[in-house]
Amino acid sequence: MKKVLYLLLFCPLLTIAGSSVALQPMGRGDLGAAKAVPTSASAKKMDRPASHAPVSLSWALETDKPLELQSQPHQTSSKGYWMTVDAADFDSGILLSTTHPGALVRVTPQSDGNNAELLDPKDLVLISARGETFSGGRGMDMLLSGEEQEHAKKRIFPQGSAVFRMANDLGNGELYLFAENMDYGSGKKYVVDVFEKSSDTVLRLTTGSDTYLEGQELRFETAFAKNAGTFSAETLSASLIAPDGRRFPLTVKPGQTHFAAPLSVQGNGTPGLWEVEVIAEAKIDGILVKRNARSAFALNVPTAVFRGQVSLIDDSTTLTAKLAVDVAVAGRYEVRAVLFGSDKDGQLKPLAVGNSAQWIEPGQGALSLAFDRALINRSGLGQPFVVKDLRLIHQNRMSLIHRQETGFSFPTDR
Amino acid sequence: MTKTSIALLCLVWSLAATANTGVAFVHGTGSQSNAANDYWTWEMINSVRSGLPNSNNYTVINCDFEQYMWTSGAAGCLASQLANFINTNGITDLVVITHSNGGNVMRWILSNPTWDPNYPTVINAIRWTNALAPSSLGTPLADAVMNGTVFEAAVGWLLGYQSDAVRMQQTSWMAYYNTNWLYGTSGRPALSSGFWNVVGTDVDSSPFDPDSYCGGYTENLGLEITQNWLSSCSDGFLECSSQSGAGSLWFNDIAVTNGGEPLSHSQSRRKCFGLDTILRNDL
Repeated sequence: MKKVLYLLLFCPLLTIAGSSVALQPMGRGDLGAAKAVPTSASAKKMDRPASHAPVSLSWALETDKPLELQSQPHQTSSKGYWMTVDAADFDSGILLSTTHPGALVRVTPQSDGNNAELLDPKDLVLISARGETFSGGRGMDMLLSGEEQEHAKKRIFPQGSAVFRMANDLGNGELYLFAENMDYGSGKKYVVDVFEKSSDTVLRLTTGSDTYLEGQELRFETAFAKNAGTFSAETLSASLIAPDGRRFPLTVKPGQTHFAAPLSVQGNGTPGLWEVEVIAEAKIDGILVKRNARSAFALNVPTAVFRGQVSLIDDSTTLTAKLAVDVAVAGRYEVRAVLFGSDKDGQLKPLAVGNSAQWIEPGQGALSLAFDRALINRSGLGQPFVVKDLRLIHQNRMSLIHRQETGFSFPTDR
Repeated sequence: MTKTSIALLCLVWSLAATANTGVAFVHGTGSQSNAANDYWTWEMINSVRSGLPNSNNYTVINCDFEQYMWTSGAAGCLASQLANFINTNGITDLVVITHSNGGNVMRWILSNPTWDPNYPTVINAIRWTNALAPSSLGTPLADAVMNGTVFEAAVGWLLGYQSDAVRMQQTSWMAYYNTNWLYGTSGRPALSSGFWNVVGTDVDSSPFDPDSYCGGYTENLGLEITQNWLSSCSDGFLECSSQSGAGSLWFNDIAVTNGGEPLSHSQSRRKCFGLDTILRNDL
């Protein structure tokens, strides 16, 4: 909400004469390094030169709207799986297993740079575990070939895909997918993707953090969940996927759910996130459950660190916190944080967001985090103030390199 | 605070300050060179801008939103065109209307004010953003497209014609960006101005229903297919939870559209079921 819409709240002007405070020690879930690290090849780069002009902006927050600033990694829940197969596999049969009727199936030719052949879904054949054959579109609802998608003017999935839903009367369980009228010796690759929207069995994947620094240890956990129960995988493999597509196998053991791996890999400048991919199978209530899951995280190099000292300057229009930094690589660095103040009952309430960026050369320097004094005065909140969700960002590397739930408080003495 | 009470305060403020109001149309995923004709249609734009005190105070953005949202071709382009519009026309009160991934690009600007010298100019002029079907939490369709096909260019007008915007709209990727680079989602600090969501809740694509032809029958047919990958509340591309994942809910389509009609992902950028009138009156 624009700050101009707030009614002016008059409160005694609060001034904090020049003073120094220290950053609080990092806590559980915080991100940061002890030392700034120079880097070159692994650096992600912005697509334009970074500005050297310092910029600051702060805006008010609603004081009665609580925030959740503790870092929480994302939990992925997968109800599907995919596999890359060869044309020859459509002759010998591709095992599909579903836990619930009505699974969605997509078969996509892998493009070799030329236009992919269109698959006619009527050439697909399903054979159940009981030996029943479903062909010519039988057993498949919502049959849509790539050509029909083209006809619909819009391609929904990659070119040449055949998409169908398994008919409900097929039930669930194991069956085999074949294709007729296919050149089985072509060596062409296909992705077969199965999605069970209505299944009650998911594969959960959670990484320990959504951001890591190079050299740290990646932690992740994965397990099947069905209703209130959890089950470890009986077959399990995992990979680390770089933004440029490079894959690094991870060591995992079936039967276990928690894993760790050193992040000794490096980026090569390609923008984007890293991913953990897990491929798992388990027999749950007598049914083979297949699931794949992916979860993204950032992997960054700490090109600068906070030294720990904060100088406060209050000139009645701007409250500025100058945070001392050690910088290993020149760049445009940003500090952002949320300022909390105390209400009349001593409860901390969110007051304002502050964002400040400037160019810093290698060596010892300082980043100034500025808050509009008028916002503080209008808030009705007072001492002590606490700076939370303190972050240090290397903008031209698109890298978050420090994140601290509780940064510092002031004044320290009344 | 509801949008109505904010609007009343805005009216008082604008009357007092003689604001110069403008509107900007920001497209979704895809690289546009003639978004007015190809993405929004002039029918929609002309209807909405007629609600301005000066109906010439409008701009239709053309940028490359196939890229990641933070790039110079995406947010850089958007900020540059908006700043130019603001400065050239003396706009002091800007309403931004976004569609789909355009909401993410706009939210990048609002959340990263120090990233680009044009950003503060844009931020300080904005009254609020009306986000039509924004993909604030991403979409499982992006995950499905990327499964096993990391090196393939994703296709389809819904998702764009290059892979970067598709990769970014995967659900775990958007979760990361929302936690670390974007404001406005649940538990995170709010944006500096209102981000009001219009949520599409369903797709109608019967050949016998004339409503299915608004926004293009074949587009809506495609969205009926993709709905199968999504939860029961979706506009065919985005689940309702993603559309309302950042900012505040302005309205769910069926609550206010003519005849209580749902707005598919194709229809929420077109002159369908009175959407244009609602946006016009909002100016």
